[in-house]
Amino acid sequence: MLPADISAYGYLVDRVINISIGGIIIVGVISFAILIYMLIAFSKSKNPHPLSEVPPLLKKVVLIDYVMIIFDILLLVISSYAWFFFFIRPTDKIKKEIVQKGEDYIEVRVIGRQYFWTFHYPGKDGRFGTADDFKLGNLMIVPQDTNVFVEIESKDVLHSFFIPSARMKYDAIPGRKTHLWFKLVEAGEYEIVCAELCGAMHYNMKAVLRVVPKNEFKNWLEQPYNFAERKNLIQEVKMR
Amino acid sequence: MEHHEESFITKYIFSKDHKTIGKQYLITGIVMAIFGGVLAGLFRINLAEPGFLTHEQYNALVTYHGAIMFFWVAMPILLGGFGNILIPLMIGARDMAFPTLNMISYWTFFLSTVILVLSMFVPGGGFAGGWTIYPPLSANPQSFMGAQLGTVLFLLAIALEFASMLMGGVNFVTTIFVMRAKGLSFMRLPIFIWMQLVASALFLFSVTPLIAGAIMLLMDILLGTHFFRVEAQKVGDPVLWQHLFWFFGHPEVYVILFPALGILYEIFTTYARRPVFSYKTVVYSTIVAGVLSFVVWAHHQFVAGINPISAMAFSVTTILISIPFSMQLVVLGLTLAGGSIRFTPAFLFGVSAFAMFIIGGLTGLPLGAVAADVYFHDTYFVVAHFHYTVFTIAVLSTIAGVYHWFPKMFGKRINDTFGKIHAILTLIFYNGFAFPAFFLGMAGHPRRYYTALELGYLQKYQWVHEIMTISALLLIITQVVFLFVFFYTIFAGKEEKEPNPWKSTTLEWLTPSPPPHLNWGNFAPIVENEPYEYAKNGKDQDYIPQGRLVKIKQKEPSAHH
Repeated sequence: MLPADISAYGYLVDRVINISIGGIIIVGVISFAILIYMLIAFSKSKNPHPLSEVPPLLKKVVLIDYVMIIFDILLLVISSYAWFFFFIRPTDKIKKEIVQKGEDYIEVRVIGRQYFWTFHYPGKDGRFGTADDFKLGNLMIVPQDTNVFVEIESKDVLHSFFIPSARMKYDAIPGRKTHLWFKLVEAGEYEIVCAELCGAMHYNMKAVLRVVPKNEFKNWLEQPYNFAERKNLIQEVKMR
Repeated sequence: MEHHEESFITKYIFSKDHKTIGKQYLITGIVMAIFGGVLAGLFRINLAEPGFLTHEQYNALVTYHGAIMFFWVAMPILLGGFGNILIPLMIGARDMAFPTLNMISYWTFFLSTVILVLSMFVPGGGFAGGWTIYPPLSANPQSFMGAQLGTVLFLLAIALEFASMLMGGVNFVTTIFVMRAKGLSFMRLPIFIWMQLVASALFLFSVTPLIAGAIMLLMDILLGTHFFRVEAQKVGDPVLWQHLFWFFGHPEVYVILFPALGILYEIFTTYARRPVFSYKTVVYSTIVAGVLSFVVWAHHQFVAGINPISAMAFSVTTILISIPFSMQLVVLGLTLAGGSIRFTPAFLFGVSAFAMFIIGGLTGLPLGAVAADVYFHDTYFVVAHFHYTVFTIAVLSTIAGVYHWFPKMFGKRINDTFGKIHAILTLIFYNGFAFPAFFLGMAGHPRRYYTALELGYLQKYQWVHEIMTISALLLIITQVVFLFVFFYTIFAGKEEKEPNPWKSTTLEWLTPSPPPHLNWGNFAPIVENEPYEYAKNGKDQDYIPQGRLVKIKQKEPSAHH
């Protein structure tokens, strides 16, 4: 049911999803089985007079409470681990680790407006606020196997930057900057959507996420779209 | 007290009798339930056949559906309706502690209902920013379709509704504390009364921040302040609203959940002919869950810009709160063990509600686990989860209660065969529209989308929306038929003069149906037993009533102090 995971670390989220859904299906099926058994065994036709004591075997059903406590603890541990990995560790520390591991990273600023996304790139020099900065509308291009640090903000109302294929989501809030970090490993085109009600056209606030091989991205940075091309591109994306 | 003749107006309209006020709440709530259901039907048609509504209409209907089902259906029926009718009867009182306040409470609620419905039709259209009213969308008229008047009236209606429920809450708590019959100690209270008590306390403690927030929001809209709005240099904080809203909003869920669970305990014991499996567990776990409900609110905001460490803390409390509820559901379920179950309509609705609560409760866990919520937040998984809890509360449990107490309330009885068909169809159609939403949520379908056809990865799920729409429409038709049967039975149904048709133990079944003004005539109830003395297998009957009526010597006391 989940869309295919294209990210390097999405499996951490998927693990929490799978364990939690798997666990509740097991507990749910057991509970329903016990309930249906009781409805049949203790219907008036099968059992015309109520028993004065609960059958001893059924008293053991309270064990479900203990099972739930153990399951809750397990869930909290794996969930907290993933949350720590993505959101609690300071960005600086993550960046340092990435450099130590010999990996690359890029930074992108995402701005949400009713009803489109704008993506600001620092350009070839990798620094914002220089002459080679450029921006794309409703199209995010990121290199494959590269860590992406996203800074999200909103210019009007609340939005939520959601990449289902990367299991990542964070709200865009006016007056604040929020952050996401991910690394995408599968090249291709995917969708970015808005997950927080932002007005009449909320459902139509979407962008294309294009994951390209590293060298292609590098070539593209050398010569990003000129303005006219970018405009066509935006049109093209809008037509989709 | 002399027997003065009451006019039609004081008896049926501006009545101070808790039973009449309760019925007024109940009927207003049921009519609003059908209204809110029809709104849902309309936007569900749009989800199956996009283009049926405009974008503005779609958003407005989604908004009103949510607000109505919470504030104009669940609260008035469970607290205003069942609370008012049953609290004095179950604790052996003659009326509420403050009958006049009670009357004002209903008419404030009625006014709020009128304003709410009006706000949908004012120029500019109804409010369309979601029932959670998140600013800046709700606070910035220019950012939002110009529905300023609609927004102001919507907020006003909500404020009046809260004022009305506050009056009710004060009344409930006072009545339960001071007007219990002789011998009715706290640990002998029927569980329904415990649930009403805890629910009222939660409401009284939690609603104040939201009222403050609503005033700030109104000032943002009307006076141009910047509590929640953000403009160039003037930086308000939209997240502040979310804190104020959910600090109220999460206890609010239990304000309606507890009375619904209370109804299920009364129904399970009566029809299974067994005492509650563990009375004390229920009382203490309810109180614990009530206290915990004040420290879980930010689980609605895991990815909304709160400090990630506090998000983790809220994840812990959220998972923690599942423990008292799993205890409750185990106790409720084991109440059936060893019983002799009568499959009446009330029981069928009750047991459906119980089964659906299991699904609703369990599916809260993936949402409470903070890392999984990164994916599930604001998707249809959330929609499915809260329909398995709130629909169960507001519809299944309340209809169970209606079938159970209908003879007491009206002295009539709804046709049993109709009731059974009603229960089975409701359960089928309900799952037909709610369960597929879990799959949509897994697929990453965001909430409050006019259509999913704009997104490539969701287009293949359009057929799921079609199934959901068909089921939802059938569900609404079923309930409309029920509405007709409900009114038909009140006016022309089969009489049920037996005061205790279900052989139930609690005090309300001692008095005639419908109970006379001041409930007990020249008698007064005294309590001698625990609330659920079933499975006694005596010679004539298998239960011992909680109390008995004794004749009072002096003149009938007045309820009006």
